[in-house]
Amino acid sequence: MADWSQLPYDLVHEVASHLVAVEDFLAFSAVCCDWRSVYSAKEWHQRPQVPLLMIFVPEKNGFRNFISLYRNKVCKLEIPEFRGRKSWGSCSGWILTLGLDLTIQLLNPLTRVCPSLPPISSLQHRPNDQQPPPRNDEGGGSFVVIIYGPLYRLALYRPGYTSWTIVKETATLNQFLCVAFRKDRIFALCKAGSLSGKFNHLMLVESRGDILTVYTQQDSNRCGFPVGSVHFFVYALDFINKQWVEVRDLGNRSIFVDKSGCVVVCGPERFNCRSNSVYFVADNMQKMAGWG
Amino acid sequence: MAAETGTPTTLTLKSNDDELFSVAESAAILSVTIRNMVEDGCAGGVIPLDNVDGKTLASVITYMNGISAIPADEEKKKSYRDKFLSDKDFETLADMVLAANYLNMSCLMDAVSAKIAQVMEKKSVGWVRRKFGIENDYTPEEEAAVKEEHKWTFEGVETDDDN
Repeated sequence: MADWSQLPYDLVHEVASHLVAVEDFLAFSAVCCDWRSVYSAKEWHQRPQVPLLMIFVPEKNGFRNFISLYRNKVCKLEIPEFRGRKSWGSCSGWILTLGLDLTIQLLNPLTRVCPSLPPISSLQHRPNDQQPPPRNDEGGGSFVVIIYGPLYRLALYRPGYTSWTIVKETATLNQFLCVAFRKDRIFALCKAGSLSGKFNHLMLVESRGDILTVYTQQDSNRCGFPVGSVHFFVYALDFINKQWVEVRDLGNRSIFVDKSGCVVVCGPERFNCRSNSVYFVADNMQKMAGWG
Repeated sequence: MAAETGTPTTLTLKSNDDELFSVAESAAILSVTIRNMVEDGCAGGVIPLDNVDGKTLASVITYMNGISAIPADEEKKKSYRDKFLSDKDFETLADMVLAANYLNMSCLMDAVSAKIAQVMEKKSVGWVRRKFGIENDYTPEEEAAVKEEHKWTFEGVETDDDN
């Protein structure tokens, strides 16, 4: 019989790449020295998964509480890089942090990779400012997109550049709400459309080649305060006819929504979550609720 | 050659414990290693596979025959793979993944790796070590450091050790 601890690196990598939950990958990496090689080499490609829910704790130290639905417990993470910084949940395993000195960083709490992004001051450049291209492509084609400021403008950063590239507006009232990535394209949702008044909250997300829009709508009372049930409507972009088609069945997918974005997870059962559901964080309740 | 007359070509594979197996060339070339040998004209006689034992090779050939009999339908191929692996005992999975790697059969390697990963889902480090027969080669200090780095995920999960 083969010795499991003597698998060549390629096979350790292959098995690790089939572990979906970050919790399982960390357990795998602690089994023996050889199995830790993928973790040490930072070569694990994280797949979309049920997010850890970061709970707001008004402390300025480096602790954050997270709910792991997979483990079904509250975990306390100490991340020194968070000390004295404001943080937001983000996508693809990255958390965005902002310091008192207005420096912007990304942090991957798994790998502790913490790249700095250009300072906020570089967002004041005029859109047509030309930047010299970087000497080498450090980021391997990766890039960061932010929506910023009172006008909800869009800016793009590629590793190696020294400042943000501000996206030129095509119309005066293009307030951007959300962006999604699909293959080599960026899709951005603007507030100028006819739906923006009708729905409280619009999100854009990519899933298995589809571009989905998730509309959140909550009933409000006469004074305009949100009360009662929250409703979700999901539409998929029909690329050929350039129209939105309502999605009534998510199949084996579920969508996780919070204020800063959303994530689509395939096969959420393995994370102790239901498929064909929208999970959302309610502003005033600090908890998640399922909706089938 | 035989292929030109319409008769399927048969290859003879030899395991590292000297067992001989006949397999249709069309099925055997699922292995890129074997396909390269065929294309280089090295497959005339017996093809020695020095890194695969007879028991594992018999299993791999069953898989080659089964999957190549299915027309290009990815769903059916997937369900065949699931069925094929469902009755494999856990110990042979390591031999299978090593054989798939040596024979360069990406579809089999992918399926076996996924199955191995599935065994580890939601399990603790101690459980995985026992199940896979892996000796803990960390010093106590190293292991403490490894667990300290992501303490949140290791706390309170050792209880499933005996499951």
